[in-house]
Amino acid sequence: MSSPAATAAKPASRKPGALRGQDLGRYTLLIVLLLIVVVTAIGNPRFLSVNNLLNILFQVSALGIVASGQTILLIAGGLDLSVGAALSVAGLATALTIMHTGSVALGILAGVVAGTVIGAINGMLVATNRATPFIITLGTMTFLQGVAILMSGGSPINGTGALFDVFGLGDFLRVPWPVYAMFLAILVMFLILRFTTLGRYAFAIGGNEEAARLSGIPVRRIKIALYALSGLFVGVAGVILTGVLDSGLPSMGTGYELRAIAAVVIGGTPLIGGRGTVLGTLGGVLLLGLVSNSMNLLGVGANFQSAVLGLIITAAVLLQKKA
Amino acid sequence: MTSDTPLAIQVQGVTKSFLGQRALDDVDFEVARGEVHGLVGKNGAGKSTFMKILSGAQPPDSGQIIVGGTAFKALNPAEGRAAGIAIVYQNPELHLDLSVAANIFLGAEPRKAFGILDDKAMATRATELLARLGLDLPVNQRLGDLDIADRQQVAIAKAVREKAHVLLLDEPTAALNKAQAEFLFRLIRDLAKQGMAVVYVSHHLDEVLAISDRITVLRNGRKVALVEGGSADKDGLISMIVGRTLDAVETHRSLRPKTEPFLVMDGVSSTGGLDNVSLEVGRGEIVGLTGLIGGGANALAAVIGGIDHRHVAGRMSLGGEPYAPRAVREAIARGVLFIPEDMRGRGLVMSLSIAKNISLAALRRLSRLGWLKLAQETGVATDMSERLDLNPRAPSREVRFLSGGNQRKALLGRAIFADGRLFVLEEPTQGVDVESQRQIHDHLRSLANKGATIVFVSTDLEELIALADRILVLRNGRIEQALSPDRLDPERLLSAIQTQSTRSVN
Amino acid sequence: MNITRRALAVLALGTAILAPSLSQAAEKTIAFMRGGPDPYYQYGMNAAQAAADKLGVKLITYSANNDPTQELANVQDAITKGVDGILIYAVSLSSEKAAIAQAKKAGVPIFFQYGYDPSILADSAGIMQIDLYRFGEPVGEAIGKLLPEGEYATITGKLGRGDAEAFVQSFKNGIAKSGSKAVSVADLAADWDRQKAMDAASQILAAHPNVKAIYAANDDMAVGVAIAIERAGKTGQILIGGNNGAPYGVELIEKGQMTLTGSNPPSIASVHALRLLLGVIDGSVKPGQFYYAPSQVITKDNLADAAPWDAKPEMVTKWLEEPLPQGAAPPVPPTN
Repeated sequence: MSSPAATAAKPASRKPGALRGQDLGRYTLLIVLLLIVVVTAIGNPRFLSVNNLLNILFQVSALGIVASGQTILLIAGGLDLSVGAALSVAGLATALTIMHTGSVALGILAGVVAGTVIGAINGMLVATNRATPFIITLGTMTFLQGVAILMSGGSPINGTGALFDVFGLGDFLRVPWPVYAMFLAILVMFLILRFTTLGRYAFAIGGNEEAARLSGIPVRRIKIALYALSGLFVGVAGVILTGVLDSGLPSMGTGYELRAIAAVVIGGTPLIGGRGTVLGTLGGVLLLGLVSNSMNLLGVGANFQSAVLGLIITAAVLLQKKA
Repeated sequence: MTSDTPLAIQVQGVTKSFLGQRALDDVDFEVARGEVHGLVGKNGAGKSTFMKILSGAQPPDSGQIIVGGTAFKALNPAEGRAAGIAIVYQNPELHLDLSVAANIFLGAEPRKAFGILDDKAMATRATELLARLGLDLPVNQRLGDLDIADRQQVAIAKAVREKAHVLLLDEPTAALNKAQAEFLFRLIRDLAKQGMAVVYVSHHLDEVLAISDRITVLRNGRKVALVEGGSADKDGLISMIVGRTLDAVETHRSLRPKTEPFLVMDGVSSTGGLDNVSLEVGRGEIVGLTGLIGGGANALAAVIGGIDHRHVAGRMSLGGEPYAPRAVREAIARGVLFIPEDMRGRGLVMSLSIAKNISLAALRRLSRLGWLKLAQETGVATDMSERLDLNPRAPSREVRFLSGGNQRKALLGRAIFADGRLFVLEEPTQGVDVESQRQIHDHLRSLANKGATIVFVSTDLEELIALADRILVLRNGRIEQALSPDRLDPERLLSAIQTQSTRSVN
Repeated sequence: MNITRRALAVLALGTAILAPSLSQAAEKTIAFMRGGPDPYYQYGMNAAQAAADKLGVKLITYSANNDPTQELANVQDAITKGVDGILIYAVSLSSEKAAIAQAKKAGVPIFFQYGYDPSILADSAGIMQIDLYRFGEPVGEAIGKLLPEGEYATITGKLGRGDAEAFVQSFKNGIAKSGSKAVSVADLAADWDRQKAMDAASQILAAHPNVKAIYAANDDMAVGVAIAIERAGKTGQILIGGNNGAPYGVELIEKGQMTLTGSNPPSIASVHALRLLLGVIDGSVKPGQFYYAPSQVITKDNLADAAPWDAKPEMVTKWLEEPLPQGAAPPVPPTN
């Protein structure tokens, strides 16, 4: 109200240094992406072909969907290590349903429901236990890996009919359907995070769970909902991946959990929660796909690839300025 | 004490800006050896920036600091410590998992041959040091097991061990009760007698006046006054801090009509510490809860606010209807809004904006079928900022950039937006500058005038007297006394809190 | 007299009671151990189970879940149970060595499938394995004849164990042997995984549009390669050579998407391995010998003769009647 007071208040209330740091973090990802693009393009010009770029998007589609779901979990201060194993279970549910009923529609339903139910169960365990989500979902991951092997009898379940035709071979305007699905997943998560109460509650719980509780937010219920939502995304990814591979395999989700979390973190969402962006996750997913693709195109030996990938992920994370 | 005594530290023409905004403007400052020098000013006046520069956490843009005979254009924390400057914060930065002695001797632990730590010698020397300061603490106790007053003493002892001769104390009594504060003052006076120069920063003007030899007043980044402690008076200080003369504290204990009871508690006991509490609070009434720490004031607020649902006996009712919340959201649904003392830890979501914090307890009002109306939310925040004089007027700014007073206003805004009918506040103006304190009190009064009920816990005696219609003193989980603020002064209120009494003083 | 008659009665009764358990004790118990959940081992186990039923042998099964420590625990457990022999697909060479040390101490014959190392041969009941160093040669030769010159690529499994490297090398030797001048433009590793092989193949096709043949070191990866080729719209234009003859690999050959594969069915191998182990136990077979696992090259032309992984009991009966494999000199790496 009194101007001198207002003017005096400004220096104490603005901390521009920190703001700049956050922007720098966002640009880091873009810089790293650009670097990789340039190096690869010089090494193998075919890298920049539309075909190859579409290939990259296609190869990370399932990962992108899983990572979208994982984003809101990290924002809420949690995480789910079991998404890889859940992906396998959902994929197998799809494949087995198609095999036994011949109906692709039922198969899709089975996969999506499987993923969602697994997510909800994880959510209930996390919401009602004091152990960290890391430990809890580590346990469910191991359990689900066993379930996947039991479901498949150890071997691939082959043959998904129309599912393969659409997701494995099909495209629209040259862009494969899984890619559209990934972008749709990113868009949906973006809308949820920005425009819905569920998304807002996720930020609040991740930012300060006690404050959220004192504001009357039903923290337990929301956590279950968030894990179930992530599970829904995992189910969809499982259905799509089953279509792409024309089979359900007990190992199809292996490694997805770490890559999804890596993508989210690289994209700028911190592990402690409270803030985050799914567009950043998209960037992280693209980075992972780009690196893998570029190494193959440049002929980098398989032994090097894991090491290089690890280095790039570490570098990208270190260059993020903590807000 | 006089200008004959050599100076311990002298600051000349220090200026500091952040992105074009002047935080400090050509400030001169000096403390003599053995002097206790108070530093006052409201939030945003530049006190914390100044302390940071003194301790070496931030470099000034211009000016110099002369300490130990050397002039520094800028200090870093290591140089500051080497020059003998030690700073102790409200919540001292110590290692809770180490022992008292280990903390005191951190970085300079006595060792035996081959560099092995000599724990026995460390314990002995720690005990000696503490004794010299008149302190008695268990030197091998894990620091985290001690209360904050003791931890503060350890921090001061550590500073003495580091051969500091300038001690910077930042809001040292914020977390202390009266007895602990008194003990601290004795310690400070002893240290001063032994030659320590002490800079004492606090919002509690009575304390500053009581302990300081001289007082410097900062306003808008400038030093506006340097007064002798003996000849200063509180109102004069307040005028210099705020920059205009304030009227005497209004005791608008209006003429609020006696209304029917809104909150009724009957024989309530709880595992959180309440013992057979019964009370009635009328609509539009402001009730202050106080007492010694652990006496039950906070426990009572928690039960009323729906935070602590562990009451094992008794009944509560709100507006005639039974009130027994099993979760915070049930309390909020009944219009009971709890505003915690610890804003950063329990109240605000620091990573979210002002607008998002204000709307947090009543998001449903701004959403349809789960879809948020963001434009409306911004509008609500803008209006609330106007109404409460929340600065800066930037609803999308993250709350962690706000000053303490504005953060409290934001929390109050949240409670107001959530249609609060009963506001339960813990320490409503702790760590808040004078002007914001006044504003918050005004807002609470106007809420009460419009029919809201206010229950607040406070250990600030002036605040209790100024704000409450009734003051309840709790001890051992029971309401010991009910006092009227009329003709009550802080001394009598304090003695009422300290002594047991079976009659209400009225 | 009375006592004698009573004694005789007790003796008769006792024999009647004991006889069944004695004859049961004559039934052999074999522990079948597999390194992990891989379907390859599962098929082997199924076939061994069917053979054991036919032979009147009891089979106890164990899985090590790819954990060498678990495997050792399984071995100890089996020995404690008093099995007559152990038939094992081991997780790793180190667990093999530990296992054989245990078994030797207890005097239990142990037969290894697929895990040859000269240091353990003498103490084992036998080792049965394909010739790693030459296994891919027939596939390489066949592809080489179809591709006298041009570009090809290889996708192998997880590096480090030795078999992935050996398969690819043997394939390349086969190409050279056929006289083909074709060159490899990419050699990638896809961890035996269908998904990874699909991505790798897509990469290869994008980087080298003139590739005319791809070798996959197992048929699971070959399926991935086939899908990648189909997505690129090049089915029929690119030859695929596979390895191990899994059911889905055979299916690819039926559909015409894969040219040929070198099959080493775990089913028939496990049946023969079981017979050999039983032979060692009853003394009719000399221990410590190396045997080549039955293998065949499967093309479109000889699909009918392919030994299936998923063996029906009739098939198992047929195999039981075949002559036992003979001991042979273990393979040595080629000197090129």
